Amino acid sequence: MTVQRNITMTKLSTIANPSFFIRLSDKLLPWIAAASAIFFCVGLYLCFAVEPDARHGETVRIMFVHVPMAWLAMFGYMMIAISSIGSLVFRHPLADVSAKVAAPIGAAFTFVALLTGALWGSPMWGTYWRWDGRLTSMLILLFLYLGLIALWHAIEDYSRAGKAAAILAIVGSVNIPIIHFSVHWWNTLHQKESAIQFKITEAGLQISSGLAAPYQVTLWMMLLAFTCMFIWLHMKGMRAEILRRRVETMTITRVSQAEQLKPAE
Amino acid sequence: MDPSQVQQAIDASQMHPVTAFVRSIIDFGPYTMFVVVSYAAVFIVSALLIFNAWSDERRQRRALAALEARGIRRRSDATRDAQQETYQS
Repeated sequence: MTVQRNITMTKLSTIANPSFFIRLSDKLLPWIAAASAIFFCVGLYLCFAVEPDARHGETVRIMFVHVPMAWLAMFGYMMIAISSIGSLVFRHPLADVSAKVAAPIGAAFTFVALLTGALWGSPMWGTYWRWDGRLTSMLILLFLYLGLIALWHAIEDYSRAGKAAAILAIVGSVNIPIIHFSVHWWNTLHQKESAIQFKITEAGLQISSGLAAPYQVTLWMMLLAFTCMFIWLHMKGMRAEILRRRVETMTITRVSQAEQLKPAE
Repeated sequence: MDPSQVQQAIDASQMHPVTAFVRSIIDFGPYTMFVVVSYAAVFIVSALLIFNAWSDERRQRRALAALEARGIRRRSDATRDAQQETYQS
């Protein structure tokens, strides 16, 4: 049992090694970019080719960008929370890097989800904004992201900043189920989830959709395209962050070497 | 909008054919502004994120190359080289 656990830990630490990660991402990044580009080509064509919806009219086209943005805003935060656990429990620097890099990407996606939601809400609800459960919890998610970014920039020492940000990220993750269930818990303007519905019945877990087939296909294409883009951005950002830390370590080495060479007064 | 309507619009307003073509694609009735602004926001933010990720890595690679050109190395690289020298000798 202990031997098995040690082998698993060794495998994990090999995968999580920064140099190994850079070599692995060298191979993966072009494929992820290509997959994203293909999904975008098909998805964007479908976005403008589908017939307007009977209820939402032409504004249904906003759904194809709004839903992926909102989904990835939550996915990004969950990624930060899981990385933070990895950083606090296993103290691995790559988990720390992953959490730091995901924050600005998630913040950008949350901002766009709120903006496109407001632009969809205006013609459908007659207002850009309302302080209801779903909209307010998404705004709190944006503030959590901004708080994490600010915390990273406020503390100079990487390990101290990482620890503080990890605690905030884990505490803040309580907001994710609140966002998801807000439409069930409170009476909101925001519709209940219709793209993907999970139901637990006697027969087991059932996955269904309240959308017509052409909208489902388009939404899935855009969801896959944006997910691939998110993964690409995250990997690329992690590589830059690993290199930044190397540059800083080497700069410190240079300074200390210069001080050692200085003649004693 | 069908092709004859596009042609009529060009004739009536002396609109450039390219402008008329673009307008015929992005005509979503009274919701055009909402749809166009949504997609434009997604495009701008995505483009900024991609450019930032790409340029940041490039900047760090240049900084790393500049330091290595001055003969500064990471401790792990120096240790690995020392081990290789020991094995070779």
